[in-house]
Amino acid sequence: MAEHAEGGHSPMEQFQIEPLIPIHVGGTDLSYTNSALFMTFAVLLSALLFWGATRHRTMVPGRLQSTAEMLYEFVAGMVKDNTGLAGMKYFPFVFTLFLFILFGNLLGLMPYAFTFTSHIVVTAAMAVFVFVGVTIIGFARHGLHFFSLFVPPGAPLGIAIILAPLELFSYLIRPVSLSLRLFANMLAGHVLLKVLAGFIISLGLIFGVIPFVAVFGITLLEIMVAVIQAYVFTLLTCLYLNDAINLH
Amino acid sequence: MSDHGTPPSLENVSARLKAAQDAVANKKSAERGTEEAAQGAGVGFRIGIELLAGVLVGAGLGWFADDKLDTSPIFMLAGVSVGFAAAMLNVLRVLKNLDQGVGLGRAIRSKEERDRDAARETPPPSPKGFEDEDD
Repeated sequence: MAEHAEGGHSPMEQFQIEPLIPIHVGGTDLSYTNSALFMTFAVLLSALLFWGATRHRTMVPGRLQSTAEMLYEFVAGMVKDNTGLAGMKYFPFVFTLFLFILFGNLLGLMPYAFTFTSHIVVTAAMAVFVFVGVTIIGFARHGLHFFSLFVPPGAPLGIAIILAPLELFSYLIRPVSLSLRLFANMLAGHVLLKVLAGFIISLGLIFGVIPFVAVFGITLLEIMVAVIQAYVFTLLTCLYLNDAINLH
Repeated sequence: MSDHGTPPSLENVSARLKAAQDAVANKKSAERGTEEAAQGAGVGFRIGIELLAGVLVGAGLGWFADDKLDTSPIFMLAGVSVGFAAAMLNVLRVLKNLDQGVGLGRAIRSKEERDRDAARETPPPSPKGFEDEDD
C-alpha cells in the first residue's frame, strides 16, 4: 500500500492505518492503531462531556449541561417517536451509537486527525451489530411470526410469492446500505477536501485563493454532513428497531 | 398594558408586520435554495448507495451459494437480478419519501395515512365562508 509514497502526498494517505502499539496474539494482529486511538478519543470525549455536564446539576442549566441535555433529549425524542415507549429499553445503545459516530465524524475533521468512520470495517461492524441485534430482538419478541414481516399484507398470493423474496432481500440489504452510506459520505468528503487543499499549494499564492475558498465552504458542508450522517445512522437504527418491536 | 395614549394606527401596524414577514420570507427562500441543493445531492447519494448495496448483496449471496453448491454461475446471476429488483424497491422508497421499515405496501399505506392526518390537522383557512353563513 505504501509503495507509491515518493514525496508527493496522495489524498488517500490520510486513511492509512498505522499501528502505534504493536500487539500480536497467536498470528493475529491486534495492534493499537491510530484508528483505535481516535475511537478512544471519541469515547473519552463523550464520557467527559457527560461527566462535566452532570457534575454540577442545576435547575437552570449552564452551557455544558444544556449541550448534554439537548443531545440527550434529541436522541430520546427520536427513539420515542420512532419506536414507541417499548423501544426506550434500547435507548442507551442508540444514544451510545449516536455519540460514538458523531464524535468520530467531528474529530475526523480536525487537522491531522484520523476519521475512523471513513473505514468500511468500522461502519460495517456497527451496521452488522445493529442488523443482527434487531433480528434477534424480532425473533425473541415474535418468534416465527417475525417472518410475517416479509409477506405484504393484503396482496394476492401470486404477487406475495414474488414480493416476499424481494422484501427479504431488501431486509438483507440493510446492513450493507447502512454501512456504505456512512463510509462513502465520510470517505468522499475527506478525499475532496484533501484534493482541493492540494490545489491550493500547486496553484500558488494568487490563484490558490480560489480552491482555498472552496475548501472553506466544503469544510462547513462537511461539518453538516458529519452531524447528518450520525443522525441518519441512528434514525435508521430506530426504524429497524421499530420493525422488530412493533410488528405491523 | 397601557390603554391610554395614542395607539398606532392599524394600517401602520399592518404595513410594518408585512415588511417584517416579507423580510423573513425572503431570507427563508434564499436559505431554502441552498438547502434544496444539499438535499438533492443527499437524495442522489442515497439512490446510488441503495443500487450499489442491492446488487452487491445479491452478487455476494449468489456467489456464496454457487461456491457451496458448485452451480456457478446460476445463483450469482439470479442473485444479481433479485438484488437489483430489491434495490429498485428501495430507490422507490427514497423517491416517494416513504419510511424505511420492511414492506413497501405497508410503507405506502402508512404514508397515505400520515398525509391524511396532516391534512386534517391543518384545514385550509376559510373565514369567508363562515361570515356568509352568519348573515
